[in-house]
Amino acid sequence: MILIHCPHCGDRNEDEFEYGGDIEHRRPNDPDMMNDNEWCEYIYCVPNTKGWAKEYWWHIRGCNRWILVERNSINNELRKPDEGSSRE
Amino acid sequence: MAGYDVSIKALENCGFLDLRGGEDVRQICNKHLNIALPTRANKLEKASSGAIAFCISPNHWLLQVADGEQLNILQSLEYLSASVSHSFVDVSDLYARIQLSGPESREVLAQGVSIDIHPRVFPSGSTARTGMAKTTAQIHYVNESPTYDILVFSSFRQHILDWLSLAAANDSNSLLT
Amino acid sequence: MNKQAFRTNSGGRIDRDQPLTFTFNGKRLRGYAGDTLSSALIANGISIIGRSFKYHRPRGIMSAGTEETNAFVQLFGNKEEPNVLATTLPLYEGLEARSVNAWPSVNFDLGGMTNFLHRFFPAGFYYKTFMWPHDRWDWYSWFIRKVAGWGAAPRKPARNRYEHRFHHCDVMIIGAGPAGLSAALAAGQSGARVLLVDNQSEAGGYLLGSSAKINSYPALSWVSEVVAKIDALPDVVRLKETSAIGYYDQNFITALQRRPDKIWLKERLWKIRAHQVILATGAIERPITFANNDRPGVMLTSAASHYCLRYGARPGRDAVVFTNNNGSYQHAIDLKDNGINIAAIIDTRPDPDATLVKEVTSKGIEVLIASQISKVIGTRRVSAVEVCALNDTSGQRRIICDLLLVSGGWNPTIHLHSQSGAKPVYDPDLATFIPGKSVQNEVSVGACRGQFALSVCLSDGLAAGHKAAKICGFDVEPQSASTCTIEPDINPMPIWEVPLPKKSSRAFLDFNNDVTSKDIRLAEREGYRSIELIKRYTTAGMGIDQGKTGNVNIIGLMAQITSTTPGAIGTTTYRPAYSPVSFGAMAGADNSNLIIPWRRTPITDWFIKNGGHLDETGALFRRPLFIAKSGETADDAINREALAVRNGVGIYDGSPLGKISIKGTDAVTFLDRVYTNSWGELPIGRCKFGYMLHEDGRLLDDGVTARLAEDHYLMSTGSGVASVVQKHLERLLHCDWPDLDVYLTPVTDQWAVICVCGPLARNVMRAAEISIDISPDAFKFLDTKYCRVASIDVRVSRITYTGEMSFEIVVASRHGLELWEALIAAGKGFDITPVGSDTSMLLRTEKAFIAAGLEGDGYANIYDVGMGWLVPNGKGDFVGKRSTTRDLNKGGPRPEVVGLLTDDSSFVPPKGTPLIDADRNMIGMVTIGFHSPNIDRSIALAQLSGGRSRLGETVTLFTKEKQYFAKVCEPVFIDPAGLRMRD
Repeated sequence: MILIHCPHCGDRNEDEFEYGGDIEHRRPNDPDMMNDNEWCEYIYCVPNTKGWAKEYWWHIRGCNRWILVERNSINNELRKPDEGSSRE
Repeated sequence: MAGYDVSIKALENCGFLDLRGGEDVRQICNKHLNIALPTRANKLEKASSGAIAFCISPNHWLLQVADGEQLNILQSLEYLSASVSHSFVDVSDLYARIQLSGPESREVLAQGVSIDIHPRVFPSGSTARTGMAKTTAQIHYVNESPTYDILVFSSFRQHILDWLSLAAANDSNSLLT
Repeated sequence: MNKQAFRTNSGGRIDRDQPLTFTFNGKRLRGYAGDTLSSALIANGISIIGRSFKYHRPRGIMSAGTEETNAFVQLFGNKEEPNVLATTLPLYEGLEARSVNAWPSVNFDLGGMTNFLHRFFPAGFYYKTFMWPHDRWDWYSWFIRKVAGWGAAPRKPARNRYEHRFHHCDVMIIGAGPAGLSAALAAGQSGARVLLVDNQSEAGGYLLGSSAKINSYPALSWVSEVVAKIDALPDVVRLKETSAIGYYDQNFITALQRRPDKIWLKERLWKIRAHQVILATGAIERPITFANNDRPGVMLTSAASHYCLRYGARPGRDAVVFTNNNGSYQHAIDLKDNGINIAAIIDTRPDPDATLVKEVTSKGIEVLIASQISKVIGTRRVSAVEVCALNDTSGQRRIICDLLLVSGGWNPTIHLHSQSGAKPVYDPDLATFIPGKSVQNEVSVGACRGQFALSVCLSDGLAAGHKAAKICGFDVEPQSASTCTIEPDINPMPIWEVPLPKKSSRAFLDFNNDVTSKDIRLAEREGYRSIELIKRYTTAGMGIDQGKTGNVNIIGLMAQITSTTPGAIGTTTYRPAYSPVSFGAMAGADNSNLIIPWRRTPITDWFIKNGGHLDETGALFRRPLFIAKSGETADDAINREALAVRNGVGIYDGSPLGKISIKGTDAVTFLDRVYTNSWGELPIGRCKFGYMLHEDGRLLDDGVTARLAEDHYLMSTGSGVASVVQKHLERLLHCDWPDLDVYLTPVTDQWAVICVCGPLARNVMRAAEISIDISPDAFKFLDTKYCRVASIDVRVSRITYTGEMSFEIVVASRHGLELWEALIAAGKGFDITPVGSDTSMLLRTEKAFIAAGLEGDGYANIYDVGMGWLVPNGKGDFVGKRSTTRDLNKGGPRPEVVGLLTDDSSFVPPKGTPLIDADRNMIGMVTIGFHSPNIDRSIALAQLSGGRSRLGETVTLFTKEKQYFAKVCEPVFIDPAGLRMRD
């Protein structure tokens, strides 16, 4: 049960959140300009970083915000990300 | 009295409005409702009218008013906010209210709520939106009797009542069906 | 009734004024309040407690705590429970216990024949035997189940409650021995919120069985003084009989409390989040590996001292001590002072501490240095030992005794430290593993960091308690440490296996799983090197005790065999739980019907009263599958309901449908981006069907969205995917399109949804006095209007999930039941029929409305399911668009949705039935099949490779019994033109 720091609600247990993926994995701005290979790379080669990764977590049982979390995928160590929520 | 010394009851419906928007919306609401909508999540503000504004996140509030007032307030706020980005939604039936009170309330609540409810960090008048018994709850520590008002989504109302009854009971078979 | 022949006349922490009666294996015995089951058995001279797991060798009590490896019992009576540790179970009046793993009895055990057949049960025996002939497995498993295993699961449900409790604190201290108590006092007096847990029935830890003095007084007076001070502090919680069992990320610790403060509470599982953790878990004495070291009467030295001093129970009359360290000498003196004759101390070291030797010699105890036990005599109880010079089995000397006390050194209890993610390190001076670098906010103090001297434990605890509180913002200088005499270092000599006298001798490492030194040697010969693999191959350390006494000896022996150091071998991974946890404690209050929250609609109770067969059908909602009249089968009810909807009128509770309010000036832009179709021209008061894709082109959800006002839409989603859709939409809005002026509010529970559907639906609506004109021209298909029905404010839409003319009525939840009953009353003259979700599934199959997860599964794209018309030409980007424009035909023909009409019209193909071609290649599968009462034959939908070009062909359905044939057809079985719903 990792403890996630929500910038709005403080430290909360993991089960109040849903994992939202790596923030580097952003939807491309213009998918129509990508060829099939590039598109499949985006769809199917989802980042699975070993070590420190920046992730979205959705605080569904709290403030309902999508927050940024930096997590070390090796040992679940957490640190506060250098930027706040993407949408205030 | 068997089990924990608490009482659990379902409370009457209230009017609830889900309010969203920025600082301009907050100013309009403050003026119209004669209340200061809190700007930090998990804070609440009470109006002299008895209305309570729970802050869910910095641009998101849950306003609790006497049942029957919600539609008038909604219409007035819609009218006043026509030119600014906002969303006001009547959620009066989305939430059910359950009250847990009695000397051992904290012992029962701590079985299902993972946040720290020790009075040092969660004194009387505090609120928090958190998980409870596998759903979401807005917990309001009303007074030191102690009394907790718990808002849950209405389809979970009976589940939370049953769950609290079992958490307070002295017999695991009391709810076996 | 036997008198307690092995009880001292006085002393100990038992209450001799409170005798208790209990039974063990049917024999009535006596003990005292304050006893554990094991101390009471010892006082009664019971030496065989059970039989071992594999060889069924008689076994006795080896320790006095949670590390116990032999003494597991089954409790009976109203506290029935398997595999209870006798060493930690407080004795109570009427306790009924039996040995486990003995058949038919502990003294005459048939399974004991495996002891004589041990050469057939080598390491990894179940990987080597029972493999052939393969059809004999049932026979083998009967035998294995009979002779293996431990206790039996209780037959009755638990009466007492179990619960969970979340708890938060500044400083958590685990262990209430000298170090833990000092830490708790220092941290508690600073004002910090402190939690002190200890797994014994009273505080004191090691001191409870010791004659040590603190501040010149018996150490236990210091203990009671400190406990009184701690208990008086308002923000300190002290829990006894509570084992910390798991250490997880960010200082999340679980602890199991037995016999909590409430009499009706059996166990409480604490889930603790601590800012700082102090581990004061002490150390566990380890046995020595020599021939027959598992005989009843062989016991850890410290345990004997504990039984004698704490419980006044003597584990024997004449003892021999076999040791490799200085720690055993004080124990020998304490035992001698309490009436146990110490025949000799056998020390493996050539140079034990001279002062200690002098001290014991002056008490008349003989010390044999550089010596070893070569063998234990006696099967059911130690009767003598044979002693010789170390590593030299010539010149044996026999010493008569009924108790052999062993000490192979001390292992710090580093389990929780290791569970926290830290790596223990090997300390050659202590010949054991000690805590490594902390990776969480935890610190080990006292014996669990390898500091065994009482003086160090006291100062260590005090300093750690102060420091931890200070980090939490409570900086109060603690009082100075208490004083005590300085003891010599324990100075152990590593000895991993005493040379065995004969080839057939067996020396046990893991008593619990019957693993011997020969098993480890065999595993090594067979090529195993990794300690993790040796553990799994030999099962060493995999028993109930999880190798608390045996693991370090196994690592040491492996190091010795392979000529390396134990540090280079390393430890196996320490995992929760530290000690066994009952299923009841894991479940807590989440038992019976509360395991899964049941969501209810306003109508749910009506269905319960009126014959609804309820089941969970997505999103935790409990809905009727069908509503049976008395005497009806499920099929009867579904057929009746389906006929009513097509020919008369049905009524359906659609409240679980997900509902999301979408508000904002960019709402249309948002809908255009998340649905395949265009939303720009939708007028206020109209609905539209939308199809939502995942980015990879799969169907996420389909449903109807209504435009309620200029910038206000209400989206409905499938009930099962409501939260998935919400997450999908919120993520796009928050992370990808933060510039859009759109607010989403999930409002599922705000509204009840009631669908009145069928050719007579309009009649029912009129009978219910709907306040608007609902003639076909005034209220068209896909219109939505605010109005009143039965004098209740509602919004009614002309949308359908059945293909029939339908009115979907949306009403505030509080009026849901009232409206439902009004409609039932209004429809009485039209024989209105409540419809369940199984029927609804049949009706949608007749119309081939695509269901996500069935036809719209992980392979199907929008064209495969025949919904390509929902992707308008020239529309801009939307989620999933790029995936639909990929060249998808590279992998051959697509799996397309078709209908199937079986040649045998009574055969209903089950979901998942494969479709095969002439070469028996799978070319598709059935997604759903039903008997349709409306066309009175079986119908099915299927995904078929290139199915659209196979219309009219015959395909083969493969089932286990036989092959069936079906004609491929258009996937709509009723009203293909869709005229009924538009009526």
